[in-house]
Amino acid sequence: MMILLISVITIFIIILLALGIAMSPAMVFILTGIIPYVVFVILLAGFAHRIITWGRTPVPFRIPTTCGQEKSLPWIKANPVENPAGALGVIARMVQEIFLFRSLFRNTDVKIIGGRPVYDGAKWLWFFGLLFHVSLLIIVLRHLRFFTEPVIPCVGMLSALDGFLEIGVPALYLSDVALLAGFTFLFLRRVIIPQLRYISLFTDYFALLLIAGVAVTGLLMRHFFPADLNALKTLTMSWITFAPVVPEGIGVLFSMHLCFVFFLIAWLPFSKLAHAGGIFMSPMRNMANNNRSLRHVNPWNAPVKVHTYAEYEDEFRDKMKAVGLPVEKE
Amino acid sequence: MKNKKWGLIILGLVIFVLAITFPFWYGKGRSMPPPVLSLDTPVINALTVKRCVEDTAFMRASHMKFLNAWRDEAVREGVRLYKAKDGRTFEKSLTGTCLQCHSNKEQFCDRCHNYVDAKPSCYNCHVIPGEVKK
Amino acid sequence: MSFAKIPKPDDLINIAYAPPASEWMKTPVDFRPGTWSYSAAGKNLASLDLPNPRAWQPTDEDWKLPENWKEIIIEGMRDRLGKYRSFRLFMDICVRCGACADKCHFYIGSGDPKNMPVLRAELLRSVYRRYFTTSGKRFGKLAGARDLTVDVLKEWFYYFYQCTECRRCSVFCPYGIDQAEITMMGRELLNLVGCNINWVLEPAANCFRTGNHLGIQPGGIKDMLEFMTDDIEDRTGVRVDVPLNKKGADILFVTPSADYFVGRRQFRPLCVPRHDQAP
Repeated sequence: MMILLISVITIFIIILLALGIAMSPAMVFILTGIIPYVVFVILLAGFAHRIITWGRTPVPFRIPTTCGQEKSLPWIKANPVENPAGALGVIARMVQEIFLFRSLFRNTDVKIIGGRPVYDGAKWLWFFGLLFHVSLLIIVLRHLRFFTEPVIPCVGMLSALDGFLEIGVPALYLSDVALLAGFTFLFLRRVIIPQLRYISLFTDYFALLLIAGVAVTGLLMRHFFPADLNALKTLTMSWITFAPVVPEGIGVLFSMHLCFVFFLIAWLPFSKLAHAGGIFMSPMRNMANNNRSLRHVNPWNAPVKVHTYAEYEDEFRDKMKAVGLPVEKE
Repeated sequence: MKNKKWGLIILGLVIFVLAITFPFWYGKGRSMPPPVLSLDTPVINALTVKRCVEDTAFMRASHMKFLNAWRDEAVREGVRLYKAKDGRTFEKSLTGTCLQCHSNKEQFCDRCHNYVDAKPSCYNCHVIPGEVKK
Repeated sequence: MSFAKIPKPDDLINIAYAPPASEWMKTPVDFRPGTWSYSAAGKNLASLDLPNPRAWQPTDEDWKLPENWKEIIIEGMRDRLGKYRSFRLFMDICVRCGACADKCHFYIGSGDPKNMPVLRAELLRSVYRRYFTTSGKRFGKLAGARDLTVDVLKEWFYYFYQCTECRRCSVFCPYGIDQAEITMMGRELLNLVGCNINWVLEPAANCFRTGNHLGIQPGGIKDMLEFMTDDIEDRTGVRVDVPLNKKGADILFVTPSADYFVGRRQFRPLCVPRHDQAP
């Protein structure tokens, strides 16, 4: 619980920082003129560094985790996705893992009922995890309207679809509701389920709270404390053209939103959030299980100490001769 | 370290970088200035004191919620008169009040709305005086 | 052999899944009887050239580790982080989603939270963070990092040998984080300072020296095979020829040592059944 408290306090510190920044023109200049570029460079460089460090480490053994029939004789029905035999199977498996969270779908939980362990499906984590991530993606794509001019038609269509229920003015987006639902589930389960509370670290709570901070400030800005979107897009477009037009003052909510977002972007490559890139490199998922058909050599094939037959015979020659076994050297 | 999969990893990284920096290289070379709203309408030009219902900063940020409140109060509660902060009275009507002055939808309303991709459904029903005449 | 108190079924199924009140980093390891394997005998380490052969047991207070055991392990980690992408990735990528938590049958059967795959990996990961990541070096406990102490080593010994490396956890993890890899790394690190179990090392040393896991010497092997051919002749009337070390042979047939140390029931698969007779 201490860790949860510390992560909440850290969020409050960021909020206070944002409030302070909003009150000082010099800090506004730094926040909207300099920090965006710094943070973006940190994201690109940090992420590339992470991926390259992982990439430079070799994969000595071809041991993907599989759970289906391996490709074998022609009359044995193989499972091409659970146990991929080639690139196509691997791609199908990876695509389903990344876009549909395949492994989480088969999740189960166990309870002792009537003196036996009983397993039941546990698909809520899959549902809310997927909801959370997909709505994050949709929201990021919708924000492209601030960074492109003229706005890409697809983004416009996405916004129209997202707000098709036309609840309220401006329209309430379904992805916002979904994000809040997903976040609530993920946060509550981390706080309520004892096993998860036992293993959760500061980064786990903090990452969730940070994203929630971004979402909540964004929603407040959209529905309750509207901002001058024209001026906002002028600012964001000026970022794109490398000629930042720093506004005279920014709203408190916008300052908080920016602080949360920049913190998240800069922190992303150095935390568990880099799982976004790591999943592509996981040797247990992205390799085809074809050890029976192709020979794979360990790139750093370490020498192994072997015991030769000559050494064996040197030790046991007398005993072998005693029982009449032929020997190489008399 | 010799690694046959470097090609794929670098490709992935390149795709990631391109995707993340998409706004930077999309539309490169095009100038994208913010829109300038035109107040050049006969009614506005004839005004002696050029003032909207409320001040510009408020309107820029909140005219959508403002108009939504007008819609609810006028249509659902029958309260059709609005008293502005400076004491003037207006009828709560998009076409009857706002669009009388701002009759140039394409040079006024649309410029901002297209810029920030805000597509209100108001215009599905509300006619624009100037456009009908065309 | 001691007749340990055998628990009743009702006691056995009485598994508490709720984690204990104390934090996992502060919960010490309890080497209760029946929960750990005996440590490897010195002669087995010596024959395999493994470091630090000596007489010791996990229940001892002093495990007689080498003076610089900490450096050895940290250098060992550094070496393996550079050689195994799986190791490096799995140290970085876990998001503590908990999907793996109740998938390990050791956890399901014991309720010990450190048998949850996520926490078993954290045993190693916390030390990795402390010595190999900036946030771990700077923020310590807050970043989930801890120092490598003898108690940590004992915890590793206790839990890394409670994994059968079945990889079920990896099936349920979205990234495929594999306890088999992690416990293999952990066991390799423990090997570097001479902490291994006899159950693994005695067969390995015997195979190395004599070619079979029981350490049976040439005379014994010849006797076993003759005994087998005698039995086959009794049942089928056919005297099978089993050439051992025959000079000028064209084919060298090498079998796993378990094949010739079988019981009587397993003799049937060794005989080729006739298609018109019941086996």
